[in-house]
Amino acid sequence: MASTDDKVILKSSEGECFEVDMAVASHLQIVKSVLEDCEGSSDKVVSLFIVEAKYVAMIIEYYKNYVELKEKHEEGGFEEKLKEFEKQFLEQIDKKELKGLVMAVNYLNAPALFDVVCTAIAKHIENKSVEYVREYFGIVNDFTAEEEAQIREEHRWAYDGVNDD
Amino acid sequence: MSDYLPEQIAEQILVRLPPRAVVRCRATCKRLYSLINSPGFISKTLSYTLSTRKYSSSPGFLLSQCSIRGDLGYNYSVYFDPYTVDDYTHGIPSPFNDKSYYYLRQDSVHGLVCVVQLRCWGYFADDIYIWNPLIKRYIKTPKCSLNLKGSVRNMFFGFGFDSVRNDYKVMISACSEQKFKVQVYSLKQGIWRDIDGQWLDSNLVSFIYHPIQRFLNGVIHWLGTGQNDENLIIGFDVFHESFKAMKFPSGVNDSQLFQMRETLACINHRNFSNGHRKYTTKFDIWVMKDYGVESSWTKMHSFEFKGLPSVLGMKEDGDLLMVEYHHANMRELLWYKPENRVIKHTGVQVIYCSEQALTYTESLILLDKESGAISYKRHLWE
Repeated sequence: MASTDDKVILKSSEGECFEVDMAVASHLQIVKSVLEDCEGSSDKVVSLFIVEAKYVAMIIEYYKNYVELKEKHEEGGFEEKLKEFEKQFLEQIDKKELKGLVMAVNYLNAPALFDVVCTAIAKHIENKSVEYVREYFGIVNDFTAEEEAQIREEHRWAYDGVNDD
Repeated sequence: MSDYLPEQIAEQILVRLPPRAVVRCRATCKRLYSLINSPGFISKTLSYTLSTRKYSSSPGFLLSQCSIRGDLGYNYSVYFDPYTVDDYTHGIPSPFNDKSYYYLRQDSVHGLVCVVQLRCWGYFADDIYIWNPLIKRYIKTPKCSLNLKGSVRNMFFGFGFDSVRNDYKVMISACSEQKFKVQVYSLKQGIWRDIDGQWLDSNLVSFIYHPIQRFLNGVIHWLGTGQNDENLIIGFDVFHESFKAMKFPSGVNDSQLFQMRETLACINHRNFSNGHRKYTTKFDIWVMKDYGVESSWTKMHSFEFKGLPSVLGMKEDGDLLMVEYHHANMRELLWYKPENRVIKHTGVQVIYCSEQALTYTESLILLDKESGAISYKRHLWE
């Protein structure tokens, strides 16, 4: 049984608290550096001011499995097992949540999950129209109609076979 | 949904997109347009492609073939896997399409293809281009000034990447007055330089006409013939700008050279006649298990085909793109997996196609303004 010293409490933007093993939380660079800054303090609560509870839960789920699989497959096979889990993990997340998750992971500075989520978003928008990508990225089109037409004309073929949903 | 995604995150997502999807994202807004066109971003996407690519998924092949529609002349198609065939001309004529010239092409390096334009067979190169077929841009190199006198023979050229200087280089050589003359073009410097051709004089007799290159481990490889009439693999180290030779497995002649994973492979074929117009072709695949070690050549597979098919290309995992001749005007492309002898017919028929397919990976190189590349569709809005 791990002592409470090995635990840390992550507080979401709504104030919800999650008790997490240090082995899991240490994958979040921001948590690591906050704890290093207040070393010696008995208060092991880290406030993740801008991260909603549902994303905190997702991130914990990912790294909990990451740590467990790594331990279990020390001898090899970790990467394949992780890939299997990642596939399953991403299936439960809708496209809108992926975007919220990537912002949260970026804020918490967690490289492995950041790569997974960026790759999933790339896969999602791979065959999407320009309009869809604008909407998804929250981009305002600042081209004049003429400029945009010219860019599209240069590589007209790149705009074929795309969809909006 | 319309929350704004910070540029730093957007960049990380774009880097993970296939190059053709990135091209499309240029039309989203000015900020991403400039980001995608920057040399830093272009090299990041390339590093990402190279570091994550699996042997099984890339690269593909670029195959030139005569168009059914005569107006486009040469047509380029890309084959990434057995069932995806992409007409790479996209309805836009390639710039290397002038009927009064001949064009020779080399295997692509990072999505760039080196093209040599000839006035006539047996002539020296007229103009030399570096071309990115995906984004439809090219660079025309300055006139190469090889000091050639009298008749020219044994012209050969290659294209490679100098990873130390982060530079693309073209090497061209020809023999005149019994001496090999060699020049190297650096894309970064934009100039041709002479280099010493003495090694070729003392080691090489001839090349088969327009040998197709294989670029790996920083070295361009071609098939040549040595002083004792034996087949040799000629290598040009792109960083050191020096030549070397490697031997074939003993008894193997008349082969095609390929890249398989991080090393070289060669395919040797022999035709047998068994009755009137009935043929069998036997193929042997040899692999140099340790790159550069001549004693490591190993025969990996042997197989037979009815008729006179030929191998157009080999994927890095060893799968073969082949062409089968049904009758005079009908040729079909097929994929063959030597490991388990599985044939996949593509149903793609070709009228005439180049003897070898060029290996090809898509990239965005030359998309930046700084490269000075010419777009052959329309000029940029900037």
